Amino acid sequence: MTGTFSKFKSDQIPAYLLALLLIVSLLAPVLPLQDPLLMDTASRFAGPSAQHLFGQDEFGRDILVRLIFAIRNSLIVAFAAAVLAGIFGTALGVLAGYSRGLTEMLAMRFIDIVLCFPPLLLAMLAVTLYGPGPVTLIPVLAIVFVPSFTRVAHASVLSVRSQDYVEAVRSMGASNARVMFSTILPNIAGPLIVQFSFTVAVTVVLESGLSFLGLGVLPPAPSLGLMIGTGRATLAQAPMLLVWPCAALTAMILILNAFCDDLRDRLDPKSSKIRGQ
Amino acid sequence: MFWFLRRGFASLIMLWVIVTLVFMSIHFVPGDPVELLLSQDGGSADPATVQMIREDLGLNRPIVEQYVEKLKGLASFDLGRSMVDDSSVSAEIARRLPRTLELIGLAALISLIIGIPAGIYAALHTGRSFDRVASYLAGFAQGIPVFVLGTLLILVFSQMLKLTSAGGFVAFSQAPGKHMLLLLMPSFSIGIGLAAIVFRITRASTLEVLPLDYVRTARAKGLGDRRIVLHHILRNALIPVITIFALQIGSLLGGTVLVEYVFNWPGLSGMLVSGVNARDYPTVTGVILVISALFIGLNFLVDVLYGLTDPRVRK
Amino acid sequence: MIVNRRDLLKYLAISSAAAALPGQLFAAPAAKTLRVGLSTYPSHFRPWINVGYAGQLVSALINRNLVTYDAKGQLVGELAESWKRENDLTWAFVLKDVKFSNGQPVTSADVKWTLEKIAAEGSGAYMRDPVTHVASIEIVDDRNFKLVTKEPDVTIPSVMAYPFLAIIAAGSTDSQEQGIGAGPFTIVSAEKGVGISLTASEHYFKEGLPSFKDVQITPYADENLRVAALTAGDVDLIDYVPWSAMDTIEKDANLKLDAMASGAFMYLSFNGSGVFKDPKLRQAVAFGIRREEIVNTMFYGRGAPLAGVPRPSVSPYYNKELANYWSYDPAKAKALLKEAGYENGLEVSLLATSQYTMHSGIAVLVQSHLAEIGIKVNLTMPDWATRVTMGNRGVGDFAVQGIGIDTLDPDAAATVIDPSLTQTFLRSRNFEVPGLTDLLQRGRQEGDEAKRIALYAEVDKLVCDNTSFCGLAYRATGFARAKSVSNLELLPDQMSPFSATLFDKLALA
Repeated sequence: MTGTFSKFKSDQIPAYLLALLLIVSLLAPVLPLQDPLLMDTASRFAGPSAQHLFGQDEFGRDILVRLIFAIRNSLIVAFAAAVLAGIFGTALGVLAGYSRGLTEMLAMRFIDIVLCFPPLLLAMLAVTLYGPGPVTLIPVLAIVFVPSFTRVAHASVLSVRSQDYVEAVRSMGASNARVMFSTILPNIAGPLIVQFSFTVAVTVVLESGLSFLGLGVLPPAPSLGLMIGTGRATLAQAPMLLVWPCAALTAMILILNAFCDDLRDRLDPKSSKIRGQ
Repeated sequence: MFWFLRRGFASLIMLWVIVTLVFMSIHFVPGDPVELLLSQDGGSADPATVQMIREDLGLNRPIVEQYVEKLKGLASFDLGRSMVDDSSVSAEIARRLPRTLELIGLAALISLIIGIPAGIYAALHTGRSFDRVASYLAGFAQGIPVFVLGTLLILVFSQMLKLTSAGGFVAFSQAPGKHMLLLLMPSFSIGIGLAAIVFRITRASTLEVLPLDYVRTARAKGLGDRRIVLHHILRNALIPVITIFALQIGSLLGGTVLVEYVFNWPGLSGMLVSGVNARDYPTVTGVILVISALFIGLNFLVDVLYGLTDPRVRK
Repeated sequence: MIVNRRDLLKYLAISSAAAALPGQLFAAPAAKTLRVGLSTYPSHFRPWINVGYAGQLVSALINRNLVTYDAKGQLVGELAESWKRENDLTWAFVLKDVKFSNGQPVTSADVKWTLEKIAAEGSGAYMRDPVTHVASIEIVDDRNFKLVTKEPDVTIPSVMAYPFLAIIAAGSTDSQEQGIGAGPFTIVSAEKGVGISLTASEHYFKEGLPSFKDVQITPYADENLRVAALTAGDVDLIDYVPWSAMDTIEKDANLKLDAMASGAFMYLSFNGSGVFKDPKLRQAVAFGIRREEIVNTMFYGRGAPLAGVPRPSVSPYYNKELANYWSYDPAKAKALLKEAGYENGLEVSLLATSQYTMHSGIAVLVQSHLAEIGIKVNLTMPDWATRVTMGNRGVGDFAVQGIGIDTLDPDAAATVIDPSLTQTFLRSRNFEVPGLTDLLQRGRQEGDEAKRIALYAEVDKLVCDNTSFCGLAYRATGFARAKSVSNLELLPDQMSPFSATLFDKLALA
């Protein structure tokens, strides 16, 4: 029923595009690209040329190279945050769902508290607390997304904990940790993977918003949000300076979203039909 | 009744935890409200003066003492006074909150007006060109970040077409028309992403009720399409839409930072941002407290409603 | 068909109908109201505390100083009719017959009250330091008073022209924070972050001024939005025009740009607790920076290199030779590094803020320029609030700074060039420039202009040699206005934003 929901249901274009993004991002430092920080102020705002396919920015840096590195930075931050959130959130959710009682109560209240803050505000507060930059950004974004993993893990554990195979392993005298991580976890992996891909997509949006406000990735490092923020100022001189990062960011988010939809249809057909936390 | 009290009590405890967390974290943030107050645009603060003003504001007292003071104030619903201009934080929030709510409200309205009809129509014509185009558009609308959309709207509508102001705010009482006009672009920026979500849920839940017996029966009885949509499909398909929608609205509270920034809309988020920038402790704690309280209140309300309708929840 | 296409279109039409209404329908400007788009909403209206650049503009509308600068940069009386130096320590002032905006006359007692309020301990007043040089204020009669300084001080009249030294009616700050000033307008209503409405004062002392009745100020913190508001016709005048937009505004037939190529300036300050204790290394930095590039990149050519001590070019204290002392010389910079024993490179940290592009952009440029001469620069760029605190605590080996010095008196530069003053975030610290403090002290006391010029030439030489301050670039100060607004008179150099009379003659067509 829900399978018909995805717009890219039958094709795998998003998966291929995502793979392309990941490969280019991963290999960016070893590809024969110019240094994204290399300035050439004499030819600032220069249009496209053979050396600079997309032209040059306000410091004369190569826009294409900066876009590639910006996507790379974005994905690094997003994946790192999603991995951290995934590990902690899942551990908390499994623990809460498996042990019930006080642990469950405390864990669920904790995530309720985190959920009380709109993500962007929580991130802003933390960034002012510890200063902007990826070192702050990653743990902060991780905290923002811990609750969603906890909820998914918790709900899934509740639905499998009383099933026969779990009972069977337990009655064979397996330790709690063993039951939780070797028996339950593999059985709830589907929804968690979907949640992971979803977290990556949302983190990209959040990171770009923070960078747009000057609170995320710091100059001179390239970042799409930052490029959009500065591109607004030079709209008259070089409109493409705004258009390129806007297009790149939107495209990246679209690819990630489409991939998420696709993945959910495959791995977690029962999950809610709605994207949302 | 006992369940109800327990749930209410838990909400209060959560508020207390939030106040404590925010209070402690903002006080340990580097940056001093007094130094900032005296150092604008290259002014330099004389350390002795800073010291005196800090004393005046009670910032020199032990943090625990300040914390207890804060809690006492909150118990009597007093959010304190701004350290920057000594204005009442509660009064300022009372002025700003409606503006943010207004923004969210219109965005919600826009999203429903676009999302629900489009969703139903697409579901009734799955696979047809409207469905496909609308689905692509929805994917696009969900993908484009609000600050990108906002920037583009300003570029097109106010810079190029000169149809409307680039942003800003005029009180409704002063100029109702202009007020609504200024509200339009920011609400649209938020509403369009929301509309995509509404569209998707509406479409999906309509698809789910379509094959159900009562819809088939209604169709078999020869009822007109319009009646079926209104009476049978809409009523049943909208339940998930409303649930999800309420959650989305909740998360929009205070999530309007970027839009308020891009369109110069003086709402609650903007107040928080400038509060954080000026390290104005009472403003920051006040705004966060109000946003969280609203959010917790909303959750509590949903819980109570569920509890009333479904006794099993009340365990 | 269940919901037919027409219904759908109807829904869409409802939601988009409102969007099609032309903005001008509602935005018809009220006659005789000047609408100003301001860069920042002043955080408060207290008259003597530095609320920054935008705050000073508001203050200039409601308040008046004793003295001000005219369009040529000469000191002229504003509330004061005249003044003269009676002896080394005494300045006699005569007030004009003028009134505060509530109709009450401006008297010597009001001046005395104002200066005492400023000098009070913990007043937080921007000008508290120089005002405390005044030992006593003697009231002769309602319009005559004398200022007696503790030591000879020739800067008194220019001090009185400083921003945030407005004369306020005695006791009036008790009932409203801004008090009652003698400016051409009064505040009718103000709402934080939303706008300030002002109306003309009927008691303003200049004949026929102001020429329009109301001022409506709307803050637009985002610079692009501020420009957009002007282009869209929402406001008549904006301050702090972003440099990137200046060209476009200049080309726009409906708009007029007023910009001064040398406005406030950007510089580096050094912390002597690390490697920059060695003046050779500070000099190496100063010689290793391409200032033209900063002007072109950060300010779109709207500015000028600052390669010496900041002295307005109209001032007699301007010294052409010393003004270009640190012109780009990488060979010399490398030689200096070698002399200091760092020929194999050096690693330092630079404090800036990510909140303002001109700070972060300059930090990035400085980083790349210094890399060329072998200095590796690590950037520390927190938000502004954290940066101020870090600066006050002495974080970083050197820091990017921006300031507008608001007088033509040569003593003004002391605040950025003398590292021995109170340690604050905007000047160098933890090292000494032998003899500098002493020279500056003599400069303040010297009454003879020729001798004063010689003294400040010595000061500048000392600063250049020791590099207690490293100038980078002047940045242009710009206002942009609709063609309907006329008679905006910019003062020389960076004075305009700090002028109390900038908007005085402004007229609306």
